[in-house]
Amino acid sequence: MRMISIVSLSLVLLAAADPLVAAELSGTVYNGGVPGANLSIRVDRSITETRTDSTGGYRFDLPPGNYVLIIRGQRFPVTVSPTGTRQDIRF
Amino acid sequence: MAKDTSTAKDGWDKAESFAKTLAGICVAVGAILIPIFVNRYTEESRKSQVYLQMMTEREKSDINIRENMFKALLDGYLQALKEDVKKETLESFRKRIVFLQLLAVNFQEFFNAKPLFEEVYEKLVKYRERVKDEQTRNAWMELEKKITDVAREIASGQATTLNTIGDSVGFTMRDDEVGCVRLYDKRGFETLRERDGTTRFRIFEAGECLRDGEKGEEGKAGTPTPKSQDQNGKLSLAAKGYHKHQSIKLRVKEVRDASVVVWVTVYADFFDRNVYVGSDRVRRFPVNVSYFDLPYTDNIQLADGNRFSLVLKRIYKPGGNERAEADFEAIRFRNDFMSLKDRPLFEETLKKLQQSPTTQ
Repeated sequence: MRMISIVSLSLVLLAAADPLVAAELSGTVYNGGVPGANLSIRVDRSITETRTDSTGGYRFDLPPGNYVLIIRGQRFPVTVSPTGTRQDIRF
Repeated sequence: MAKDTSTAKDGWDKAESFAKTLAGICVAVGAILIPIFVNRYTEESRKSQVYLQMMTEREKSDINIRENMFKALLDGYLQALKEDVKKETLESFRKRIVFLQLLAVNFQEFFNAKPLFEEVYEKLVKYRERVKDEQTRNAWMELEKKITDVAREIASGQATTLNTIGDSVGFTMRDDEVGCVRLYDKRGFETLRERDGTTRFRIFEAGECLRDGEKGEEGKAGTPTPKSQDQNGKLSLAAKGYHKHQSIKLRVKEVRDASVVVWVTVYADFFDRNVYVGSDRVRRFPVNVSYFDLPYTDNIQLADGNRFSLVLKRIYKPGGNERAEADFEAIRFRNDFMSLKDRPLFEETLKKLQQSPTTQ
């Protein structure tokens, strides 16, 4: 019984510490100073891609860590924290 | 009995003398106050007249200066064109670009410089393609960039001014992509709902303006939908008295180096109170949106009396498998603004007159 409790607790702790739990990365893309709708944003070294909405907003669900967002060949480094990150991009 | 009559008479006498005194006071007060009010009104009216006269004189002299300037610049440009027609060199084109910039900047309200800009740009491209020496080719390319930068700067300034009396949205589109711009008034936009009564509209969205189930309500391509009855004799949306807003569908046909070919479809969207009920296709036409389109002069009048302009902000051509992209700004603005020749002055005069106490 004690063994089961220890294993369960370990599993719970492992899940809590799992870096693969997604956090939200969001923000607004400003193109030439104004919010740019329908712009394509790609996460470097992955197939994850999205388009900005009508107000220039974007949103990704990514595991916490460091990433590079690519818009029209321009690279924008971002850090996603476990609680989520808001990062506006101007280009 | 006689005493009663005497008391009543006494009362009436007192009332009469009081009324006479009151009338005298009123006449005296009136004699003092009426001239004061009349003087004040006359003074305010005189001030307004002087102000209007000053503004008119200023406008007249301004128009004279501008007329002379316009003539001098256009003559200068045509002279330069005549002299350089045989020797079209980098220097002669540099000169033309400066003339064009001066013309476009100083007379942007009434002078559409697009054909001149395009003519110079096309020649620059032709010369650049002709030369084999890389250094000379770069010099021609620099001039191409200069002329597009000049036009973009002017268009951007105009867009900023128009945004003060209208609404705009910036968006990106790719080759063969379709997008929808809702040219609705910003006031009340948040309250409008789609057919389900809950979904909000977005000012721009990728894809068609009409949902799949609404295709049948469109008119035929290039022809306006009947205003009162459709082909089955059914009362049309326009005749039902719904509120009307307008939206445009854009389909990018080709992204070129300095322009984008776009098919524009204008829709009239109808709303019962704030809920969307359907659309009529008003018209469909191709537009070549280039860097040289300036929103003051290159714009389209909408059925609701407003105007809209499509400004090309930037073209991005990545090469390889990636599609070319173009950044646009769609601006919707008041129609009356375009009919006024000297906008800031006129707006200023109107504001001053509205602030004047005589007009309140």
